[in-house]
Amino acid sequence: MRTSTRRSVALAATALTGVLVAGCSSDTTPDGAGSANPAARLIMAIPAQPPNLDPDVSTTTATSDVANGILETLLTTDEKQQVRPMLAAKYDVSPDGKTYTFDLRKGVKFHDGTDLDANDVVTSMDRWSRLSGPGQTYFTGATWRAVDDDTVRLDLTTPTFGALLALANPNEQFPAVYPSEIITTATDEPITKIVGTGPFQLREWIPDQSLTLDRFDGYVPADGEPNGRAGNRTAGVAGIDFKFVPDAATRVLGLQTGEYDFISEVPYDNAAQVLEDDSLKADSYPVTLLNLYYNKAQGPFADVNARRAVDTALDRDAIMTAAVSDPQFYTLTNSMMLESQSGLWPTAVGKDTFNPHDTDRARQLLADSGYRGAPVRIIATRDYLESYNAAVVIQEQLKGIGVDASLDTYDWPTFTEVRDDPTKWELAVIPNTAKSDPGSLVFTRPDFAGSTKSPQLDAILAEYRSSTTLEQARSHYDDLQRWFYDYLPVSKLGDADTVFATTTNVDVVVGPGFEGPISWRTTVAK
Amino acid sequence: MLNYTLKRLLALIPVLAVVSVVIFALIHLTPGNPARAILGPEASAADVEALSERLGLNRPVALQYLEWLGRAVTGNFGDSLFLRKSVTQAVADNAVPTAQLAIAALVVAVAIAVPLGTLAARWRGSPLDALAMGVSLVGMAVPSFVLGLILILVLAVGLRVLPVAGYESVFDDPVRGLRYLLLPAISLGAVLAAFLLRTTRAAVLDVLASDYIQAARSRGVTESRLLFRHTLRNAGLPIVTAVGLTFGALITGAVVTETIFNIPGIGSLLVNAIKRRDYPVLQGVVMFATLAYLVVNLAVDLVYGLVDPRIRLSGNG
Amino acid sequence: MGESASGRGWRTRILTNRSVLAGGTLLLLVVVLAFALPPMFHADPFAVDPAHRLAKPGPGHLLGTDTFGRDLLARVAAGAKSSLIVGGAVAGLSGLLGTVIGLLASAFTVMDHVLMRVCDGLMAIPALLLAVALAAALGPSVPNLIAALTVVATPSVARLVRSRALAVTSETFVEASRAQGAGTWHVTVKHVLPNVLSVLAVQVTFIFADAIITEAALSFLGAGVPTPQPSWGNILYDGKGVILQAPMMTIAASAALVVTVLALNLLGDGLRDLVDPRATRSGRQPGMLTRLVGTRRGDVVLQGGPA
Repeated sequence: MRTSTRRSVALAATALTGVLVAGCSSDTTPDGAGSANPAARLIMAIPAQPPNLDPDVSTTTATSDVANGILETLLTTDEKQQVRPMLAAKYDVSPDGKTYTFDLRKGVKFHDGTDLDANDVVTSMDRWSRLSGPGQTYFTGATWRAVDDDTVRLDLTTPTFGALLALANPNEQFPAVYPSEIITTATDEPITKIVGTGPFQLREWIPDQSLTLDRFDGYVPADGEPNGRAGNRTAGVAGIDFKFVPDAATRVLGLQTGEYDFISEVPYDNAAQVLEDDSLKADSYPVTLLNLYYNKAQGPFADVNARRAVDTALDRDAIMTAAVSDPQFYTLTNSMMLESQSGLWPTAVGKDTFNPHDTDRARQLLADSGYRGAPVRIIATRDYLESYNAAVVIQEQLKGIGVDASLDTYDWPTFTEVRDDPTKWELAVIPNTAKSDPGSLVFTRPDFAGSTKSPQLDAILAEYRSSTTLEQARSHYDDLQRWFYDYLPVSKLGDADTVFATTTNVDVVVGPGFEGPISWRTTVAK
Repeated sequence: MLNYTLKRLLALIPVLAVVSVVIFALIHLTPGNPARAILGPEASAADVEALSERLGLNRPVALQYLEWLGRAVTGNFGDSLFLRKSVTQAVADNAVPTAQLAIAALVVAVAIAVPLGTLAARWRGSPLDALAMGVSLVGMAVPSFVLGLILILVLAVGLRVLPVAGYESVFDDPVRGLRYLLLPAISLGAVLAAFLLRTTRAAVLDVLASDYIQAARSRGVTESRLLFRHTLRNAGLPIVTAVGLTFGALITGAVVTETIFNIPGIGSLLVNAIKRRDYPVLQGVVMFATLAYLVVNLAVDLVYGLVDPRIRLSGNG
Repeated sequence: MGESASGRGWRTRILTNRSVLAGGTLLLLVVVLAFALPPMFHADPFAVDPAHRLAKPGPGHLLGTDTFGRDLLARVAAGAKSSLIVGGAVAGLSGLLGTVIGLLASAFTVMDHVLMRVCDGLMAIPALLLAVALAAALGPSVPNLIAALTVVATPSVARLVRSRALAVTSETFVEASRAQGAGTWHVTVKHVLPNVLSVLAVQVTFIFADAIITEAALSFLGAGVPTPQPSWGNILYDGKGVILQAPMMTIAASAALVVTVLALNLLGDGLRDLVDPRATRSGRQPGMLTRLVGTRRGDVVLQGGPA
């Protein structure tokens, strides 16, 4: 359950329903608002359309959020985040951990009517292994083979626990299975003909306006009751109509007037407004690791002592309150990952020391580090409001300890370019997406902004990645945490929630951890 | 006349050329890269570089411009990087909602401004006149997006009589289409109305003071007939040309209005293209908007030239 | 329609014109509030206080606080400073630049063709689009913003000055002066400039107002005065998301914006009445048209009719 939380008691009155916690059941019980109507459609307003629907190529969550109702994977996770079969009926691992054998379910159909066979899986996995981030991390050198029409064999060069996790991952860049005909004619550009085996099929996509999914009537479900993302995935609604509504105020107002059934990314400031309205309900789940990045390639923060000075000065409660406007939407935690993931990845490292907010000690550390008033540019983007809000407060806090801090805000495309250039910033506030394993955290990558270069990290990661089982991997998490607090690649500010809201006749099931609403398990009582 | 028209048409070409160079340069000088938008926020720099290379974005800007120009003169403006259709198709698709919005806004503006302006002129110096002028002054100082937000608050959320945002083509469903158009048309049209009000009033005043009207009055024509048949007909020209000239304001107003009301028009096309750095669409939309603007201006000039030869003959090239 | 800029008459006329008085007084009020108010209240527009964000108006915060707990009155007053500085700089710079370009174009035919084509091109691009493109390309800073808006505003001034200059130089008294051997420079300074200044003043006033509105629109689209520096557009942008929770942000910034633009419009109207009384009666009004639409109509209008 939650540790190290800071919730204001005064806000108990506006407590949200069904907030998720890792490791505990995430199924919300249906409201007594009437029984689900399977003929109803769900109208969903989301802020931006995905750039494309191909998870092999796109790293945005918008892609996976929509595509994971259309495309499916060999394995998936249940409500306790345990790995379960999906397109595979069962799987075996060889004793040396290098060979996986997947027996595919029989009779599964694609949306175009063709049957699923091992060849489809092999060609899809080859492309995914080659193009996607997780594919490249864990499957370089691996071979996929079709043993027969219903059996797929995976041979890894070295055994690693990450393989199973990556194959079961439902989030961005999940290993989608396409028909082999589509893969063989595809280039490295995003695939546009999105045909899968999932409970929804893509009917129509009018770019920048709407995206329409229909229930796939020929869907062949897995056995078992729905359990997280495992089991029977038959769609609960006749279809989903996604509307792209970039303006947040418009989304909220549209929900209130009944134009939309479900809106995502409710601005924090509007959440209270939604909660006061009896015809609506809201929920949130933590997804963002809000981090303050240090430029370690050049400038004052190449010195770890300067980093520590800043880290000591930060008053994280003030920062996160400004970021998400309400304490119920943030969590402070010592873990590099989400607090809600501490069921699977527990750690006590840094528990009592991670948020000192001691300005006196900070000033001392700053002086000791040799900082003599060099200008410090903080960069942020207004397109992610929580990071921009945090940056404003951080600037003021740092000015308070004598840092000559200025704030440069850019739009998103410019921001991603600027952050790749170490001559243009000293500090950056970046909202990172949560990951299912700490080795994938983006600030551990040397090619990501901030120029993390640590032989110590490389050694730990090598050990970590060569773990053959999840238990072994978890034992290294404390090592990673210790490195995190010694080296300070970034200062973690906090976990930020994302808020979604629906009308009361909509029932939503949210996946565990940071997975978000499961599209096929949403129902509408109309 | 024909000569003049041809001369003016030809004069458009160098203007368009200048515009295309300026915009191309600006677009490509702006930091940010569509490859990053395609691949997502945590793509590696190597992948972004590879995609940029494949999209031909790393070549010298001048070269890219010449290539664009070569295709553009044949009518091919390239394909959008995100919309999976050609730029011309995107513009055509998105022009319909904007046209509907613009026409609706104009109707609103004219419906408010012409009667009010005429009456204000008729009763010049009266409280009505003062009110009209006051309204006009304030109206010209209120940004349309502020008006839009307030209208949403009051009419859509507060009173729930109109939808908050969205769009449906008037051709598909006239009633629903009009309901969606009403608030955006008012917020855009109100600013135009403020301006047109003054123009109308001034034009009508001009005519009312003219000999022609005095003569008609002395002939015994009734006031109302005087006002509406004689005066408006003569004042019509300046009013119509003013309307034509507000086209530019309509375009810029549409950009912001479409954002608030979620109308999938040219304005939204542009804003999304900027967000994602969809270069072909950016270039195409600005060229299209500019061309439309120039054509409307030309039409207005021609009409004026037809009516008032002094302008045509003394006009500077 | 040559108009002498010298003589006691014009000063008195300016000060007794109602529009000018009203607009000028209002503007003065805004300036005083912008520069004198904050020091009086010791209000810091940058001091964040997240615990007290979106507070309602009350003691300590006369207009309440914004999304970061910053005092709204301080922000609006500081925003006035920003908007006035940006607007004033744009008006001044474009006036200066436009005059130079216009005079050059009127004097030398080759430059005329080149400069006017460029001006036409720039004016053809709808103003907001050009401003957004320039602001994005140049980067987020106040000087860049001023540069962008100046580029947008200058062509119309250049055209105006050029046509006025051409009109003046075709007058008989200028011909006479030339016949007596006066050089281009002499003609420009003694005859053209004084006659240009009056319409220039009108135009520049409207550009000031326009720049303020355009900056607000740019900030609304996220491309204006870089945060956390306050400007009215920024406040409107921040306030948009919390319009129900803290309507004061939208109301205060809008009111300030409207009053200032109104003041400038009144001032411009009054000045134009003094400069060219005919124009107010006819349907063709150079100030507003060129302002709203940035078209060449301005020069046509001033030429129409007997001198």
